Amino acid sequence: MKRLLSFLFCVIVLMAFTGCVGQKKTADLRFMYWGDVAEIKIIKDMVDKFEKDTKLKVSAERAPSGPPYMEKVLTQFAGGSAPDVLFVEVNNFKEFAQKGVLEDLNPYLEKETTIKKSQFYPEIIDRFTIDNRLYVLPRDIAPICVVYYNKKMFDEAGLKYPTDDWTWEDMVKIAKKLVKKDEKGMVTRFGYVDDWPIWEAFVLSNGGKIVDNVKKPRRCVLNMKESIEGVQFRADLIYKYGITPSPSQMTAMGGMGTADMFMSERVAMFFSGIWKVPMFRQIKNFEWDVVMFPKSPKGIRGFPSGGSGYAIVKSSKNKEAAWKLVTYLAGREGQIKLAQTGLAQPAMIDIAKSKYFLDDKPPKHKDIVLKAVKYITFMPLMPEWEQINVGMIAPAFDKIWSGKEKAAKVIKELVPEINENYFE
Amino acid sequence: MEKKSKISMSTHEAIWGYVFLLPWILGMIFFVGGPIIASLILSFCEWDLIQPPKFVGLDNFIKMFTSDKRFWASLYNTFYYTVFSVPLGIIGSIAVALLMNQKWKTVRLLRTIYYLPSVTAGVASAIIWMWLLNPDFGLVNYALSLFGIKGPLWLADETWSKPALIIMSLWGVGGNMIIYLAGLQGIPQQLYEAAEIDGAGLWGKFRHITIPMLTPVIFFNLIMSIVWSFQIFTQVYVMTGGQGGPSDSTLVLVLYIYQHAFKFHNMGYASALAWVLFIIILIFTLLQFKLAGGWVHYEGELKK
Repeated sequence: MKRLLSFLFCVIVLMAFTGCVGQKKTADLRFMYWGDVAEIKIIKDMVDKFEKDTKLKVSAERAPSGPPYMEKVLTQFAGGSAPDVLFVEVNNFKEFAQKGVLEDLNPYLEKETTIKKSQFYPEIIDRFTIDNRLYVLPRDIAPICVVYYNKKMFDEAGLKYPTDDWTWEDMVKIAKKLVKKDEKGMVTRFGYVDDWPIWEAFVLSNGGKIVDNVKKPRRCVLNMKESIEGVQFRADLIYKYGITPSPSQMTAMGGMGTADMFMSERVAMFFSGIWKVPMFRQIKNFEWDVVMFPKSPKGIRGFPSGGSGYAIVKSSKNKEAAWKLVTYLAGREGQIKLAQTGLAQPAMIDIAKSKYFLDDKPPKHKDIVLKAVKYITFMPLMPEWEQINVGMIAPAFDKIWSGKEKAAKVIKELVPEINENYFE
Repeated sequence: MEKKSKISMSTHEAIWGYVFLLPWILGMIFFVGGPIIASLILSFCEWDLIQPPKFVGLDNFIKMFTSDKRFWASLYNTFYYTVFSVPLGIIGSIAVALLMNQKWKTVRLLRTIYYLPSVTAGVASAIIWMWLLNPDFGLVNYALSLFGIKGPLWLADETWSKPALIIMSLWGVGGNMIIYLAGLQGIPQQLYEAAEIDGAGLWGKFRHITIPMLTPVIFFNLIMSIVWSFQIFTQVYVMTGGQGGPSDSTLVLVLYIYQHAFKFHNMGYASALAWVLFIIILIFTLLQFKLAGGWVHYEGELKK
């Protein structure tokens, strides 16, 4: 009995050890990405095709977007087992870019016959370029400029549909007419809401800035007059005009997101990027369309933007193959498939302008995102920006959104502190 | 058939004992011990997980104590939470344990009901509480409205967000209740009988028998509760989306560590914060052991 036990024990220990070692290298390339169901399907299809054409084996690992993705990728970097190909977006890009862990793609692109740099939006190429090195082959660009509106509500109120040349005042005027209250004065339907507090759009379209130079930030300049006015205007939508829910009114929705509010007809207009389209296409109860985010009283336009693409990690042992995989993922076929889902605006201009993206499905005025590209400004390109945004701006701005403080006071206290801690 | 073993029975048993302990010991050394040492070393480094760690000496600690406002805010929030939730939790769980120690017919069912929250996943209970604390439709504010009180905005209001967390923590009294219940049932019946003969009333019995006999259990729970409350994370993470808002009012220390480690990718700074948290907890625990002699009574122990 004892012999048997010790034998079993040895077997288990051996199995455990071989288990650890046994998983070694079955794939020629490792690729990390995030994405929703539609994106996973496209990525899987393209990876399959790549495997079939090249006879190479790819291990594609997915992680949930945002912090979990970064956590997984960075842990792999720390453990010395970084993937060969990475999916990155315009904001987490900065975590890698300035640290010299990404491969310059320019030499590969010059040799490539199927893809040319000039096919992409220069804005997104520029974002992914530092000191003349291109680190990411863009997949999509995502100007945050899309105001979705409920046509049924406009019809019922006898209002004309908004057009791209509308202004902030027009939006307030219209939204006020769309607000509904119950007999106790509680708002049951709001006029306008954003996906999250997208104050950047108000700052940028009022001619304001966040930092002096997006690609080489030296100072935070949120305390300039135009920026402050922009932030204050977003707070005014809540407290002065009563068209946008306050944070506490949002909690009263019982954890409902703002996109859910739009889908369940509790708000007439919803501001976000184009990526909400597949979700809103499931709406059965009303028709909807999109219009460009309004101009400020100064007549200026400005939008923050998203966007993403694929990068090769410098430590990759198989860079030529990695590049080949990138061309499959961000190449024409991948972009066309992406365009057809309606989820994202392809980074290749001609595909964005093609019928693949501008199809017959709603929304009718989808082409606004094409026109919006030239007005975009990306967030400051510095690894500490996340820390500034989450650690300093967000807690301070909470006071503005809750109506406790005015934007001018909060920002004038905040900006010297940011500059002192991060820029001097 | 039986061969004479060369090693004695007790050595033999000891060896097998260690063999069975081996998985735990290995796990401890590799998965806990290693990271503990690594984090100590990292706390003196700057590390973004991408580039190799850079030794910076005491910089992390100096920055923390001299210029990091959010560190102090998170420390304040953590202490605030601990100062209220620990005593309230202890009083609450003793009270419930006393009730559950009665000889009612339904007492078993009630014990189960009170214990249930402790086996509920933290994320699930946090979401339930978000509903309960909902300013307009939540049960908590509804209950208050019955008394003509207009309830606050709770989690959306920076003054009420911490009290909301404390109230929520009281939901977990059932977990400690079980331990008190065991303690209560371990008190010898003859002590009560003797006291009754001496003419002690209900309060007298409670004050002079129940409480002193429970002190070892209270002591244990006090230490554990303080350790746990310093480490509060899940509820806050779920309820504020990892932000600790509004305006950092629920930014507790562990959440702040999480932000530095996994949002800002300052592993070194996060490690330094974690060690400061460890030292704070250690100091509080040692302090309690020091003070324990004065109020904790063990059965059969002679006080000098």
